[in-house]
Amino acid sequence: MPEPAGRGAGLAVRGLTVRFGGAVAVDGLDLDVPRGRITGLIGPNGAGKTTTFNACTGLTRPSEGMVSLDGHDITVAPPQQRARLGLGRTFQRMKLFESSSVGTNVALGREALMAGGNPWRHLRQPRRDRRAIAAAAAEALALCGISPLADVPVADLSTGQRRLVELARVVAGGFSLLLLDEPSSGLDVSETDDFGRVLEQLVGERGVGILLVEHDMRLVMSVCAWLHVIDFGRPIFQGTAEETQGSATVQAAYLGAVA
Amino acid sequence: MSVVPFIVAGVVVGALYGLAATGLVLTYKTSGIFNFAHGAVGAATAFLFYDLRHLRGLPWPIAFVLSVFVAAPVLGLGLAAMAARLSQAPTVQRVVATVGVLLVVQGAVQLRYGIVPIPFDTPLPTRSFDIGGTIVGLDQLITIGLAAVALAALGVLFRRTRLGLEMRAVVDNGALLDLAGGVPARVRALSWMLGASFAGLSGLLLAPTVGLDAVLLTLLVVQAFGAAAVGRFDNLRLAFWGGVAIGVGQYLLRAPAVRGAVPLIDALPGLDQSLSFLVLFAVLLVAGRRFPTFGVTRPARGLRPWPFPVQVAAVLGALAAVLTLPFLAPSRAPVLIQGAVFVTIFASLYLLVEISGQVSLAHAAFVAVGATTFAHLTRGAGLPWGVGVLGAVLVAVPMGAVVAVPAIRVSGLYLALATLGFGVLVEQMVYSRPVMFGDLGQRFGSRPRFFGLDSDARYFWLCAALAALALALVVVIRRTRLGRLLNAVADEPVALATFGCSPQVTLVLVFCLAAAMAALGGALSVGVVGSVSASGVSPTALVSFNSLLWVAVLALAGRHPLRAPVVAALAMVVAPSFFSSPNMAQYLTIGFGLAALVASVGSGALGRRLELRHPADEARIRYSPVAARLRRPAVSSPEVTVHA
Repeated sequence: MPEPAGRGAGLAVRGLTVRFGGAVAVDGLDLDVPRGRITGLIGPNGAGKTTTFNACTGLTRPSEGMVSLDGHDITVAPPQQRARLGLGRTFQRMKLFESSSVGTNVALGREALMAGGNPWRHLRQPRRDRRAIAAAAAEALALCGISPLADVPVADLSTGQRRLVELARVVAGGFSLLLLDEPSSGLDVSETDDFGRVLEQLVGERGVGILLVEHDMRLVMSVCAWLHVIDFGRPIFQGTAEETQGSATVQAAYLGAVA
Repeated sequence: MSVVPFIVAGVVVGALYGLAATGLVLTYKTSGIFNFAHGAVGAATAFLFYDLRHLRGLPWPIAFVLSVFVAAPVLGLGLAAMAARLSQAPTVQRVVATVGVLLVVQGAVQLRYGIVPIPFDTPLPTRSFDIGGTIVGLDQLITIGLAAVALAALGVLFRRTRLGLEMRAVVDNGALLDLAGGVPARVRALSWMLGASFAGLSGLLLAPTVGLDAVLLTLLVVQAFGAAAVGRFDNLRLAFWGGVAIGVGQYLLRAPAVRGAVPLIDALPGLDQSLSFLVLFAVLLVAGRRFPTFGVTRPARGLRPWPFPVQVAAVLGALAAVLTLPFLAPSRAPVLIQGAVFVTIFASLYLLVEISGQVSLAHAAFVAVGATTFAHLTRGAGLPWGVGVLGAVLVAVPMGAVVAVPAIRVSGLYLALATLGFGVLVEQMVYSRPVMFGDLGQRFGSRPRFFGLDSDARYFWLCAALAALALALVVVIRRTRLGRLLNAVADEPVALATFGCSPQVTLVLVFCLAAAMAALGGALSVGVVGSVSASGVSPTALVSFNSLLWVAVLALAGRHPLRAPVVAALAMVVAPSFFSSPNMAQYLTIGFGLAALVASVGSGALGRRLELRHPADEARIRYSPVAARLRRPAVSSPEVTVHA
């Protein structure tokens, strides 16, 4: 089956290679994350998924290759500039603002973008901004089903709840492309189902594009329109969920080659 | 004249810096606690030796063994116990605890032996030899020999003994050794004993170069900070050679041949003494990001607000006090004014340390820049008072931006060290220049002449009003966008950047604001007695050492944005004036040091009280161990699932 088209150019990764000293974490990866669909990136532990995320969001400098967003070359752009172009992410090892409440965390997803790199906008908060922030935060909290937790300090939450706060924060940011790094780990089965519906809603109603790194294959298979499989930093397969499940190469990578 | 004798002298002093640095890195790597009191341990050892040898007349080998191999390691054991209790503490608490030790030791030594430096001859034989045309002292050779023996002993310990192997394992990865059934606690204790001994030996052998002066000697051993930076706070051997290089560099800068060849050196007086801090600052700026970090948490928030009637009563009470005090205690006017000025200064420090989590140890330099700029503009250039104050505030802004650069590059302890280095650099290289205090170390200025503001009562009211404005600014910042962004920068700067905000901008802003507020305090402080001085022993003196004291005092004063700066100023400036003692400065130093120690180490009642946590929080932590773990992100693991 051919790769289903998304809307808009979105994120394009070409020949991405990341080396740490002598170790090659990602080796010649090509990836397209258009808007309007969920693209999956899977692979065994240590395959280079988080490194790919870091290279896409500017936390790691690629050794070779190019990352572009809607045709802008962002290979060496700092993270904040990529965010301003519409690229948002969550972290596998969650990075919440620990000393704040859930509501403040989520609101900061939008407020940080408004402050940007402008000192004046760090100091001033026009009423228009405040209304937009409150609306975005309330919507994101409701979408993720954590509105009742708004006043709870994030430090008091369970891991599953913290995952939802991370998602709500990036949703509140209003990004058009989301990179989600194992967003459902720590969620139970019914929470994961809800989570899948939230993702589909984001794509369906807001038209965002999502790149999903996930170990929960049930979630991956049910929401992803296209899957990339990598192992040892190299792309080994791409296709639809069914094709991936049927692929001998993928099974070998996950379970070890059959001798 | 040849440069060889300078190189020899540099190697001798450098070996001692290197020895101290080796001890410092050893303790830092095994416990994660950077010992700001390392220099104080060295100074205390030297004084103890002097006491035993010269005051009590013990033979020198016995005095030597007692001070270097008994007293210093015992002090080290105490430090090890303290370090163990701080393993999960926030940066500010880690810094304040060892600063507390530094204050106690320094205050106690000054109290016991006075603040006048005591001449101290080297206990080593001073016969000299002619080696290839260069005169070398026997004491120099012995010093190098002792350093070499100490290092060789450490090498043998590391390579040949089981304990040494465990020590290397702790240095590499203490948690792993813990899992493998090792006893890191024993190893850490040994490391601290060795580290203290090394500091003691280097303090004792450095003492003859400056005499027995608690402050100078502390600062001399602190030269090891730069050497430790060369060793990336990680590598013992590199730290030692870094010390040697700094020692040689210092002496080469003093060599006439070098000074003749490079005229720039003469234009930078104090460069030789500051070299280590220059190295510290530069290394952290360039490479600090790759240095080892230890799990550091931020303290939980949750301030318990006073009940509304109490708040109203407190505000009214403060207002009444401010209005009536100048009449109730006219003789204390200078102290009261200084107290009001320090509320402003502590408010600016609160902005940095508490709201944005940046432990900055260069605050005295900000205040000094404000004070001297004000003096230059008013007394020097004859401009009006208001212009002087405004100018002082504006001049401090770019300086704040300069200090923000290390904050962008590094955080936590390394920021504290970089800012400490910056503060010392400014003090040693710029204070004495005409642009600041000049050769005489003093600048003059006056109070405003309009509305009778030069009277004690009215100047006090003016300073109190400006302090109230500063406090209000802190409260407003805390509640608005900048406050939320600063909080986020303190928690997770990387996450903030991925959401589109430039943490660099946030940090530059807060440092500029804090510097401006501190400079305002500096400008106002000139009017207290009409002058401001580059040196002094009181807690309000603008010496870089006091930056450490101020951070400790503020940490002690609690975490409330309004109460903490006021309590800090009352405790440090106003309260001492009610006790008259010639040794007040020393008692204060010791008192604050002890308090800092107890507050940061004690997880007991006092420590908790000072954190002002909500009692409900306490109960939640106590009865829900998992939630308590989650509260501390550094030890929580994402795999722990809790269903509320």
